[in-house]
Amino acid sequence: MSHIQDISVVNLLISFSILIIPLAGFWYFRVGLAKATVIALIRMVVQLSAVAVYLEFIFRLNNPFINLAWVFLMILVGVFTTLKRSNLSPRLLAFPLIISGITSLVVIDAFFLGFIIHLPYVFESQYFIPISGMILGNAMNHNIVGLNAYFDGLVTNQNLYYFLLINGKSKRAALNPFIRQAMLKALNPMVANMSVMGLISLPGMMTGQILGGNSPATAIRYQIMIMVAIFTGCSINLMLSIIFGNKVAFDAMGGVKRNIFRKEKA
Amino acid sequence: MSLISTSKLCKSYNGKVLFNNLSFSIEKGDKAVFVGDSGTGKTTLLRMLLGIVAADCGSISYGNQELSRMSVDKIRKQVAYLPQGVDLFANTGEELLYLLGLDFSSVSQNMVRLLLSESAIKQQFAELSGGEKQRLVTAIVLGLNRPIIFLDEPTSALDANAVNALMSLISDNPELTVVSTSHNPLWVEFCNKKITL
Repeated sequence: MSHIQDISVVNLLISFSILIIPLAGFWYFRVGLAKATVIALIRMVVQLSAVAVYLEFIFRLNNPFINLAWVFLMILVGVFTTLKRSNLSPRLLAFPLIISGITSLVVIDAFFLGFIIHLPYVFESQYFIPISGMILGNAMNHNIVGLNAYFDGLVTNQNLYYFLLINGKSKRAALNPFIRQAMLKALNPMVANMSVMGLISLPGMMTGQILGGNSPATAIRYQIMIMVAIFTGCSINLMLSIIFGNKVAFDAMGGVKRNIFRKEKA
Repeated sequence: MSLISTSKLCKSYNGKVLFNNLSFSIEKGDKAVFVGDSGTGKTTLLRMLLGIVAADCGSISYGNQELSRMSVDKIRKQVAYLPQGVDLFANTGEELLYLLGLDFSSVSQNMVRLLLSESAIKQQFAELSGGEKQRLVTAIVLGLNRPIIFLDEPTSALDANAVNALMSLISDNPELTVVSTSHNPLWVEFCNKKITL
């Protein structure tokens, strides 16, 4: 395998010039996305540059406490971003979601890093941080969809919930249609994505490993493992977020608390 | 002792007083209806009796048991509830039966009495008329065989024949206590207890 061809900073900057095509398209079709795109690009560059600096530092230290603190910080950022994007109350739901994030990560990291990859040192920053980050990043995206669908469905279709609850179903059974709907909305796209992986999508991790000089066989084994880890991690995280969220989302009579949303729904 | 009683119940919504110091009682076998103009709080009152909406003040009792977080589950086991717009969340009557854990045999007789063919249970709600949907869901809720039934605007989509069929079905069970909301003069006339808001 040949070594990766490095990209100079100048060439990286030049690569931005191709963005003129989509930006021109946005302008032509009056999409109104140009400003948001430029801001997102600037944020991405600043954030990734910062990540490069502190990951270098964290990797060099490779201290388990710092690694754990870093992953915990990622969980916090993920939880608060999820709550903000899905318009849910941090006061009510931050703690349940943090517990869900920690639990799902402990299960996935222990299983995949400790048992499957057989790392002698599970908190090895080279594995622990990027794999935890991939799982948390994906879990955040799917939790935004799933939790929003769940709580929005409960408030919008509260007639169904009360119909089932009062007509003899347990609270758990009355919530089942909403949980099913939320899980389908959140996880269906990932199932679809897995089913076409390699055909119409070449996953980033595999591409990165191949570009980094690893053999395609190793890259694919890692990719398969990480997809299983991500899918399981996202599913566990969403299920636990709903289960733990349910502990705080209902009043004493079984009604959905109106302040579950940042801005109350009518 | 009354089956359901309220004492000095009050409720405001968005700064508007819906009712104040509202006390009434409903006896076993009563067919009660809340009447009043739109927006006077009929549905809110019905939902308060079910513990869905909290009262601002006052109390609600079932027999000698006050409706509270401790008693609500026990009380709900005695009641059946037909909300408005029930067709919004299921595709067929069969799906509703499944969600409620009911057998078709427990509702088929009610369906016939409400002038529906048995095949309606399998039909998509989208293929049924508003009146057929309402009769079908009412038949299903009555199939729960609870001693108290709460009906929110049970005749809103029914023609006179269907209203008569529903009244006839309910009259056959003198033990059944009905608590309802309605604007329909036929239904209001049918009910022996009218509570005006």
